[in-house]
Amino acid sequence: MTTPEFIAEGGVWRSVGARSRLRQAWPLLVVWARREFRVRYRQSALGGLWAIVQPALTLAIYGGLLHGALKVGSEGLPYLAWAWAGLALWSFMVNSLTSASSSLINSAGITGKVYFPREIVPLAPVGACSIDLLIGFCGTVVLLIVQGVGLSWHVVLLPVVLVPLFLWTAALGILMATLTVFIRDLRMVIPFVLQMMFLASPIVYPPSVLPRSVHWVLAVNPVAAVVTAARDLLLRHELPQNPLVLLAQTGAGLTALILVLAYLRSVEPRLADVL
Amino acid sequence: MTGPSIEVNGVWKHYRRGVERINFRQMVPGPLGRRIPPAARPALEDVSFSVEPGGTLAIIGHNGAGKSTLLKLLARVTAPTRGSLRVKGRVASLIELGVGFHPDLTGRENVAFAGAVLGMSQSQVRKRYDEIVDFAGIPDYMDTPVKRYSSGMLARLGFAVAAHVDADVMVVDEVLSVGDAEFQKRSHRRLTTLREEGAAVLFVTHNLWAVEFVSPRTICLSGGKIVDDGPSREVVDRYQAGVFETIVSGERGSGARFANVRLLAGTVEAGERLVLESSAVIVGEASYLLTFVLATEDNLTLAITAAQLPEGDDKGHRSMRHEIGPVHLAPGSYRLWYSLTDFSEAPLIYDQASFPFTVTGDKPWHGHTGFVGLNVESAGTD
Repeated sequence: MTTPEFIAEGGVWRSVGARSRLRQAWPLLVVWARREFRVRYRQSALGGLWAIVQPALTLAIYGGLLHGALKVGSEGLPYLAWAWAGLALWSFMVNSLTSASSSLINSAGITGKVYFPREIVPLAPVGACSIDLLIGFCGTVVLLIVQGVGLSWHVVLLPVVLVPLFLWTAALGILMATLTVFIRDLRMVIPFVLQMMFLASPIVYPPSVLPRSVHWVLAVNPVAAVVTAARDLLLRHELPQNPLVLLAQTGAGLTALILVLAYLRSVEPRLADVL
Repeated sequence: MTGPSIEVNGVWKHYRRGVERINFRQMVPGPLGRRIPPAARPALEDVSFSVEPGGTLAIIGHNGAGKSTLLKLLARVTAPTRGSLRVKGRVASLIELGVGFHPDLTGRENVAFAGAVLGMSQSQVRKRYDEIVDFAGIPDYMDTPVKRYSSGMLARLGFAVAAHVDADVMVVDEVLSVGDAEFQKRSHRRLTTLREEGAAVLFVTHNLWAVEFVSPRTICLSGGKIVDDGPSREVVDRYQAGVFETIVSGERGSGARFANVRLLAGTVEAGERLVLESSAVIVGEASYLLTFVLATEDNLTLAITAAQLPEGDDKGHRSMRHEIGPVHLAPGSYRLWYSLTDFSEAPLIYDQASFPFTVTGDKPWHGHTGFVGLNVESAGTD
């Protein structure tokens, strides 16, 4: 094995003979995500069960208000399973982005001392929330069986349908984390952005309640595309009715992730000086 | 492997000073983005040196001399504003022990994480785990959250992880003072082994008497510049003699001030005297007094003595020589404060200078603490 060499010139570091950035980042990302997950639930009585309880509480509030009081429908599907499928996906995204956006600032103690590819820091909470998502999915399965919907072979397609959600969550997480380093005010703004994203996604209401004039929001919103497709697979037992939108969102998410990684990389030498 | 492990070539580092303001152009990547505007004085100014594989170098200097900036550069956390830097192989910094330790996680979990942060794969961590635990010497606590650890245990575990990373370059900052004598010996042995295996070791320290034991060569930083470079003993002596010490100039009062102050030798045998030569410019007719304060490195006062200003010529220029002592102190690092004062009405300090110095002497006993040499002779009385 040749010894890698690291050279700093003109305000940037470059390496010769080092492992690729992805191969450097991956092992640490796995360890960091695991730590993130453990730390979050360490010394809490319910532990990982919070991944069920949290969306359940949200469901109680919105379901009670919209479905119970205002009689908002669920596209003719069993309400609990229908809403839960959406909420589990949304919880993944919102929890990922909330932790990711302040992750670089919070890890200044480590990032100021040791070098490693910086995208690991915002990606670790995304990884940790994926474990929550898995637990949340188990909850969905239980509801599907309890409400008599059952499971079909379509469930194996679920990971494919979730790809755009992961890409967009990763891209937005890295972007928010990096921008927040430079503009601390974003920490105050991001909760509202996430609130708007929630309201713009058909999670606790069916798309049909929206007037035709704002349906374009559902088309450009990756969460809407993924949630709709996931419900097709899990509740209707049929292939997604919006394959083209999903494909477009996958392409857009991948592009966004690549651009955001390039951006982070270019400001990386300045991060430690600003943090 | 050919060529030096560390090669620092004409490196400058500028930092922004003052309050951080939002600067949108800073977020713009590449050459279009605005660089951080330089501070009035750079943190590092034209610094060059190199360390060969298996070599060592010690860096000394006051707080703010640029040592931490240099360490950050070597850790690749930040890049130089100008100049170039080459590092061969993996760098392990023992700068702040236990980087990334989470209080709620157990020793075992934290070893896995800290090892990964320092660049080890999980299989490497597993292979090295027993060695690490053995080295830290706390096998019974590995499944306890580290928030229950004593600070000593935490530092030992941190050191143990960093010392088993298989780094090609080790950056060590003051950490060899971690733990008891036994652990310190083990740490030294470990660093020697790593060096023999070809790792370059860079020491940054305030512990002046230890410098020559850890490295034959020392550079001295002051104000971001290398002001001295050479054999450790000579550099430390020159440093302690106060050649690079700046006098805190007195702006108050009548304008009386020191023109030149020099501690002749920065190292004194226990029980001997320090010799200080100075000259002062005296203005007017105040009741001037010279004050000598003997203090520890952390400026804990050990003794205060005052002396009359010797008679001099009428032009107000005094040249003086002071013999101070005997210094009955335990071996270690201390500081002498020398002030031109007037206590007749209100305590007034016209000018002040301070010098670090080292007391040498036999230190045959382990675990000695305190500032006064204490010898115990024991004999059986049966």
